[in-house]
Amino acid sequence: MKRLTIVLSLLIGLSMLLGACAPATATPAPATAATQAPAAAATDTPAVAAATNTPAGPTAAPATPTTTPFPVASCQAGKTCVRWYVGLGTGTNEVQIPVEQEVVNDFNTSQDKIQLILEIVPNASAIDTLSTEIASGNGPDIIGPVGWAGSNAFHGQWLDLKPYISKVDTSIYNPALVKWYETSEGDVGLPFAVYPSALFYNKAIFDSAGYNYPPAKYGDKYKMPDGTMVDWSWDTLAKVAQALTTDKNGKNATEAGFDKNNIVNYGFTWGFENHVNYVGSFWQSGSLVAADSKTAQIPDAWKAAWQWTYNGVWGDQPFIPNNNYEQSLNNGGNPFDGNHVAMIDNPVWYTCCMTHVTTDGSDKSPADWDIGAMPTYNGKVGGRIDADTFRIWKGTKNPQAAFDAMYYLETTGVQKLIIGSAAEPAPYGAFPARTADQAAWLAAKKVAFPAVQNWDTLVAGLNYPDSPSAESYMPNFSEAWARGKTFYSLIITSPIDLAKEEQTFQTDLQAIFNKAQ
Amino acid sequence: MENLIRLPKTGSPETIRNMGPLARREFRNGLLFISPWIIGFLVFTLFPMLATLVFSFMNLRLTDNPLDPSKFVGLHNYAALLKDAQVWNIRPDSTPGSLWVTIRYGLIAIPVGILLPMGIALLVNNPALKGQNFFRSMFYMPYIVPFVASIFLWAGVLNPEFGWVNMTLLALGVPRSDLPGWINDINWVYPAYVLLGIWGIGNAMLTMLAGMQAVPTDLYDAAKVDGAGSFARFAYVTFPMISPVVFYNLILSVVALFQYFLVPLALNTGNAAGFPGGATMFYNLYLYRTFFVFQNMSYGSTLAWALFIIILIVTVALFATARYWVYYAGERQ
Amino acid sequence: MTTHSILQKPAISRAGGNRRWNRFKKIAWPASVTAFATVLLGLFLMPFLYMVFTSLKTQTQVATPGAPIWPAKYPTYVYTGENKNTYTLQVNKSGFPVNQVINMSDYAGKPLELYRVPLPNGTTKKLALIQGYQKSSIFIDPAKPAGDPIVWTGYYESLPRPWVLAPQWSNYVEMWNDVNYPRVLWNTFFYAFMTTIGVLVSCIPVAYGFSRFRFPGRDVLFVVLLSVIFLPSTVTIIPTFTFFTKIGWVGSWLPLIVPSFFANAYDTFLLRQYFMTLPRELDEAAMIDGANPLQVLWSVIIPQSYPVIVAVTVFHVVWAWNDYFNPLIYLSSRMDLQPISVALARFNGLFGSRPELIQAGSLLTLLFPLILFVLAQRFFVQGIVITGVEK
Repeated sequence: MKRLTIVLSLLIGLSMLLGACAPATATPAPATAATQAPAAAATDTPAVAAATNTPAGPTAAPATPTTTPFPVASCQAGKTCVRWYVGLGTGTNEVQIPVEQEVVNDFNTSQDKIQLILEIVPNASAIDTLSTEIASGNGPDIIGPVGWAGSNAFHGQWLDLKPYISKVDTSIYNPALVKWYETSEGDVGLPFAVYPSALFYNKAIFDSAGYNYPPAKYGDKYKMPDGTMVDWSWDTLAKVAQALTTDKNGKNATEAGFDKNNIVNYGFTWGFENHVNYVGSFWQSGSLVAADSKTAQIPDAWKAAWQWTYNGVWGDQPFIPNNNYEQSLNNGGNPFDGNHVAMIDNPVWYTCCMTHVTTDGSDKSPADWDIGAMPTYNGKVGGRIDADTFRIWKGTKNPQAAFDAMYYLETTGVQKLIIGSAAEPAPYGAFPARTADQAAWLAAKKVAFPAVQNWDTLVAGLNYPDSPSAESYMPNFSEAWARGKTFYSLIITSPIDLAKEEQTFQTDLQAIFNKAQ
Repeated sequence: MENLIRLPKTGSPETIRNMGPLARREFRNGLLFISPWIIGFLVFTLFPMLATLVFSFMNLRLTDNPLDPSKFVGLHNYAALLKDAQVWNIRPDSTPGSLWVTIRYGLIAIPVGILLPMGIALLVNNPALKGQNFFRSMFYMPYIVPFVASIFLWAGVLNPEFGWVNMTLLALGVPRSDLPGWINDINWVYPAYVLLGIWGIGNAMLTMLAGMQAVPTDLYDAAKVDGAGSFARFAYVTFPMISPVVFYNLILSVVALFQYFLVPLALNTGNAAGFPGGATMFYNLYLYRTFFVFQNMSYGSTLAWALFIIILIVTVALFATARYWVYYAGERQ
Repeated sequence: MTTHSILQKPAISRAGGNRRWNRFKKIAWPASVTAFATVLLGLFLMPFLYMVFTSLKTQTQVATPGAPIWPAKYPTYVYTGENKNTYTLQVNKSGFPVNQVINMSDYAGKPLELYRVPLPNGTTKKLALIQGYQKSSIFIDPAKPAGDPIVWTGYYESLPRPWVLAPQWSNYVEMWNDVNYPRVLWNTFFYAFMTTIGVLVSCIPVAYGFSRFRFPGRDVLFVVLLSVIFLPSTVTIIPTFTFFTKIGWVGSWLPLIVPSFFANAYDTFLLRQYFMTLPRELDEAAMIDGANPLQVLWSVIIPQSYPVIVAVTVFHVVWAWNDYFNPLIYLSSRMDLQPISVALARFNGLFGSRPELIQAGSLLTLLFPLILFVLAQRFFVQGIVITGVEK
């Protein structure tokens, strides 16, 4: 009997030992983390939005896969380990991960005290995973790039960086951008990336139909093939998109006999903007929560935008791919890669890799895309601007080391992450927040994408922020946000009674808001 | 449970007090040997169950101290649950609440999960089948494939545009517009999820097969003498004899049904929760998200106890029906 | 007790009928039953074939409608550029004819895509596309690179295209590196190994206790043990996770391994049922020789029980290989410790646009359990029969 007990306890001891041998991150979290409840109610409504969305469907293999696109590293003994969590915003694309790993390696070789560990989580489950990590006291140190939706989902979890920021030079930024991050939780970040939006269009598809490209200047009219000049509105866009939507027989969606079950090219997609708040905001800024911060509502302009989208997908003359098409033929929801969609309304994310997979699948064709003005609703451009940065979790055990690593990413790292070079294009399709970097960024983009003419149109997109932001505060934010994403998936998935589903959505949203009280 | 799992009657129920020294030593040794399970049961089952119950009367988030008595809120969570549209809403014309999602799926999954393995067991038990052993092994084999891998295989076969199923339907003359969207289509998602899990039938198939082989051959012979055809032999001999196995599998499937959520969780790591459009927001997925994602520990516990009670009611109801159709050899009248 | 393998064929006598009926029963009936079973099995196992085929395709092929089901790619034609002329051709773009200037030297050295184009003389020819519009397409004949471009009235996307066989073995290499396969494989093995030890050292004594000792309350406890099999784990997971969180074990192997040392109901039941079938005479003889119960377990029971111990082991290894939920919640912050199922699901979330890689990864995931099944088939069948039939 005794022997059995000894064997048992030895084995249990052994397994505990093996578990405990796992390095520092396996140890219990500091007490501060355990006692801090993530506050359910955030009070700030940020003026400008930020990206939580990344190109979900990545692209072809890098020509020379020297670094693994799916890194897993363990903490080395004797170093301060800092985990960098990527997934809430951009950064999980197949093209992006190797460059992120390269920047991490650069940082790790630049000094010998801190080891930076990259942690890549799929965007769609990034909020879920981070919640679990934070709740168990094992949150990562650096989180980003992350926008306002990410910050709203984790309100109360961010470290106030004031004592660290005060030691570095902030004059390199536009002061307005620095002020953005001075929130009720303290100074939660330094400016890193800004994402104006634009209408990206596939020139080859316009050419094959003989249609003019969308206007490059905001306020310009659009010239139809018959020479008439019309306002560049969402209705006009729909008409053009229908003419560019072709079936297998070369008939387009405006013609009789068009076969909507065998579509080869589509006129338009929201692409990675797969959330009802984004779609709504491109028409007109608004919010799903009323001014009292607790009543669910749906702005009329958003209903109009959703109806327009629904008709585009399920109407008799469709021009927006439904979910089946989006996920299968369009290279897993990546319209740039798939090269079968004429227009995409998007923030600048995809200026990282505006290419498409060539037919033999071995390489990528250079960009055949350009940038046009976003259309108007009731004569006004809705627009949307994201801003991503890095943040530090307040439960971090090594705030100084985390800040040092983060500062490296935001200064030295910018060169590879946002600006890039001709040989190695930047993985983040973002506009640099640091004023001094902006000229270099434009120069690098012009080299990387010689086909793109209208870079000025992109910069002009900065004049059309969404206010309130598409990602602004809602009670019980992460659940409410997830519900909106689910609702968008319903709109592009199946023919439905949209008005009834909007009612259901609003009821659920109200129930979710009520839970916060 | 006694009906389901027969216990051999061993030993007489003595009380500890009037045990002899030998019996007492046997008692001590027995308890010592089963102590790992007793400790494990108390620590990992009984205590957590009670804790879940206690949490459901409190207002706790994961980061709160569960021992804080000021967090008691009485029946508040249960009142909230009764009003929770995301659980109850039947919405025949729209996306349903999570309990109805689960039931709608179960209405397909449970019959398939019982009848299909029964049919295959009958087939591979058929003496006319050549290579019985081979077929038995092969029909069982996919059961050992990790479900994360098997759902990606089936999701691929069911891909609306490129999957072999739809390509075959197209070749058979089904118009493209009528092709099912399977896991992407709110109208087809439940049959599609049943197919995703179809490789899990191996276990039920083998237990039913073993049940069929335990049927004494003289019963078949007697039935034949009475002139029973093959269907009658199944209905009056085979089915009654394997009905306890069927019942056992039925109970397991019902318990598994209400806990079903790993497939949509793993499959939709790159999609909106409950994709498509909330049609796969199963009750247990809603529960999982309430606790692990939104960290609402108390409401999660309330959902868990409600689930436990629902399963209990359904199980008890099934046991009540058992006396009408489950046949136990020992209870011949 | 049904511990015999159910792979044994039962002997069921068949009554005879008339001769033709007998002959049918002897040949045609078994043939049709076997044929039916073969077709059904083929459908049932078809996803394996799909997996292998898809895992060898290019990224383009998996996103091209009408592509063959076998791994293939489009051949391309690199235009040699003999013709340097400029043409003005009348084409129809989206419903109205326009003049289009084509400068042939623009296409020199470019890989062009090949289509099977129907010609006015009724034949079909493989031509290379240089410019396509909605209603007209311009081709060049690869057989006559110096010839004039050919305008064909129609949409090039409606034309069939040639494919050549091209299995992409590199997908496996890419996947091997992408999911860091050696690492996740090691993690999975470690998890399976440690928990198997836990199961064996705890379930064997418990099963022994339940099968060989008489004491009051034993049968009640056994019913409790069995009912745990039917207990929804949902009702225990929240406090368990909270508990492991508060003691700081989340993010390590501990919450995965330690509970396995406390005897799970399923394996205990399996072992206990087997122990019940072993004759007590040998134990009693050992007892009389002065062996204590532990020695009896070690030197009498265990040596007789290798089949069931192997069955428990293979079941448990397959279970651990399949486990997704526990590693997911306890190791979410430790990607370097995650086993293969979690890694594969995460890869699917990140690389949803690469079905060929996901299928390759699925194959790498199911390979080990499949090999184990082939080697230990008998034990799987045995274990299930013990649990399922002894009711």
